[in-house]
Amino acid sequence: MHIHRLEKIWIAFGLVMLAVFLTVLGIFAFSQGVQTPHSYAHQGVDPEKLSETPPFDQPGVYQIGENEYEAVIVTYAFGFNPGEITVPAGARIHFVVTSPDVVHGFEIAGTTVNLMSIPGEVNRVTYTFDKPGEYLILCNEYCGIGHQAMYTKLIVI
Amino acid sequence: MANDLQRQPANADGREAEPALWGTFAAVLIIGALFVAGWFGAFGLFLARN
Repeated sequence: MHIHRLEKIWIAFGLVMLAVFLTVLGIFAFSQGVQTPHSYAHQGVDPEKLSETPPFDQPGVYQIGENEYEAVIVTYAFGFNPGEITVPAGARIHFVVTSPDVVHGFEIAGTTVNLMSIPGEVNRVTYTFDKPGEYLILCNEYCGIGHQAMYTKLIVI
Repeated sequence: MANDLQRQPANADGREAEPALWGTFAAVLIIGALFVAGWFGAFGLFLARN
């Protein structure tokens, strides 16, 4: 089969591009200790019984260390519990998120916090808020008639 | 006459000429450059927000 010389060059370019992307991502992920959630650490909850299941029976932000917090968040149609969150600059927050009704999104705009809040599942992410300001927390997964109004804010002072 | 429109131009030795692809090559390289720029742009945003 005859392949044009320029076509060979273009195919080579494409393969090299793919190899570079995978290598950069691979080294970055490995150096950051990124892993898939461990199956042995899987925590399921009964979405209909959240009000009786710790820690979701008491949603809120709890201090667990020096400028370190655990934020237990329940996303519901159509809001977040707790609503507004205020933390000092440099706060390292461990978010623990679930939903009692439908799938919601939990994104903090301008940060790398962007996860799904799924009934029956507990999702977690940790982020350090170095820069003061107001951060929009929004639901980015369609959840019903009030989805566009489902947002709150996180204030870093 | 209709046949002339469908046949590739013939070389002196009767073989078909290779298609001239330099313009296509330039165009896909530009698109490839956009891919690379977009990829590193998104990666850069991720690093900045981390």
